[in-house]
Amino acid sequence: MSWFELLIEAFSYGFMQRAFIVGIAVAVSSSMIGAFLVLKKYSMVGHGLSHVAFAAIAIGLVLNQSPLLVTAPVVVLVSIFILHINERAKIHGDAAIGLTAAFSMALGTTLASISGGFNVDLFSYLFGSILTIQRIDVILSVILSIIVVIVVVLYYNDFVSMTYDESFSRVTGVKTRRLNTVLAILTGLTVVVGIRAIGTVLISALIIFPTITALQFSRGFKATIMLAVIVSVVTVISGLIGSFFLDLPSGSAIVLLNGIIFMVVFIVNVIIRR
Amino acid sequence: MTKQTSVINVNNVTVKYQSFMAVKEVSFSIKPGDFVALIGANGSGKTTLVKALMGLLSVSNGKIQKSESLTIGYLPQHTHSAERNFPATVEEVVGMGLLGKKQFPKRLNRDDMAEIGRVLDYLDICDLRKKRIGALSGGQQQRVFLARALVSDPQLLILDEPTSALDESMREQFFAIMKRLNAKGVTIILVTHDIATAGEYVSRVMYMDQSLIFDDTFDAFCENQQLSPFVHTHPLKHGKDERRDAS
Repeated sequence: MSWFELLIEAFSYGFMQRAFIVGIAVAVSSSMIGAFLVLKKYSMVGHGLSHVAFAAIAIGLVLNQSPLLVTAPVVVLVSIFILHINERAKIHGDAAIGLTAAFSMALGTTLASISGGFNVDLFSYLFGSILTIQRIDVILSVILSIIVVIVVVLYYNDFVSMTYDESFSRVTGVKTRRLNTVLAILTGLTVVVGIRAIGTVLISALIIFPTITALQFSRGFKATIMLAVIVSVVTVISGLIGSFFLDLPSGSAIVLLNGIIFMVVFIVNVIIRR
Repeated sequence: MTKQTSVINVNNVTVKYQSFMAVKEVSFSIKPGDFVALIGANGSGKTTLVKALMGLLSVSNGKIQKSESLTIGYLPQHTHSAERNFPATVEEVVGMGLLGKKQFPKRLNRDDMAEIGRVLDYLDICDLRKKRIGALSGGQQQRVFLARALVSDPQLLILDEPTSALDESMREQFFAIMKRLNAKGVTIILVTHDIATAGEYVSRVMYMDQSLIFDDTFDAFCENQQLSPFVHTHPLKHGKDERRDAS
């Protein structure tokens, strides 16, 4: 059987088609938002929120509700909280992320422990599993991803200006406080979108890796975002296929692929610059 | 001085950071065409004052009056040279200066691109247009940031320590550009330590140490004995004398 026939066979399965749609949705939204987060030095926000997502999933499972429906509002609210605690309280951003992540992880594992474990495989939420993606996950992921893309496209110039120089942006009339809140909401939504296919532990990698890979070639902000989206989509699709054939957790396969591509690009770039 | 003839009226303004008073009961007016050097030692409240003028900081007391239609160009303190990996091109950075004039969703059109070209040409940096901002030298970056401040054709230009990263010849070039802009009618507020160079070009010197201590011409400032500590730490007498000797 040729590779092409194997691929056709893989995509004949319903779970693979769902994983493919969710994967592209998360690839596009995470890489678009990732460019702003990485360049604003907010990369670890995604990591902190992924721990919050884990706690929210545990809450959803305890309450017997759809984990994604519970996770979306919780993660978005905590994302806004981290942003404002950073701005107003005497707590540095990294400390705010660290304490939120640790508290959430403790809450999630405590809930898992006292409920005597869950009927679903918690491992699939941590590292992503293409087998567990349901129709409702596809619908929610696509809707959330479309929201992220539309908002980023509409506010693109304001986001770029704010990312580069927040003070100057405010002088030109950009509502930076409002825009930062929008960015926090989009980051929360992106983390939620990625839970099923990538997993809570690894979604932050998909926010960071495509952007830092694209930055190795950077010739402009728009070009960097477009390249990050391409890297992200290609690695997600390849990772999903690899996950299917090698029976690996999808998140791990996707993130490993991103890591390898980044290292190759980085090393080649260093050699060329010499 | 009446309110109508002023670009900005500052009336008894105080700015505090929690309990620390950075600016204390400052009052002055800026007239159209003024070229003001705002000087003072580190921590004297210069940057805080200009940030309050632009609305970046709230005033704790007093009032700042400016026209709703006043357009401000801002050149912040040079802090971006470390951001070498930022992927924006010069064209993209200068374009950020036009966003204040644009309606949602703030797309830059062909006319905006022409305007960017015009200001790059004015500052003689057309060849940098497609270059990445992080790849430029400190002097080149400073010109790009000036282009970003000028591209919206502002009535008031506020420059915060614009020459701190420049060598002497570039400082002279920079002030020559400022002089040309001022001659075209642009009002300029320049926060600087480099009064030795700036003194030759400005029409007015404001010296502050939390409160406004001096507000007059550069020559009057040089003659003011009370400001001798600042004169000693910043060689303005020397600079002024050197310039006079050269002429």
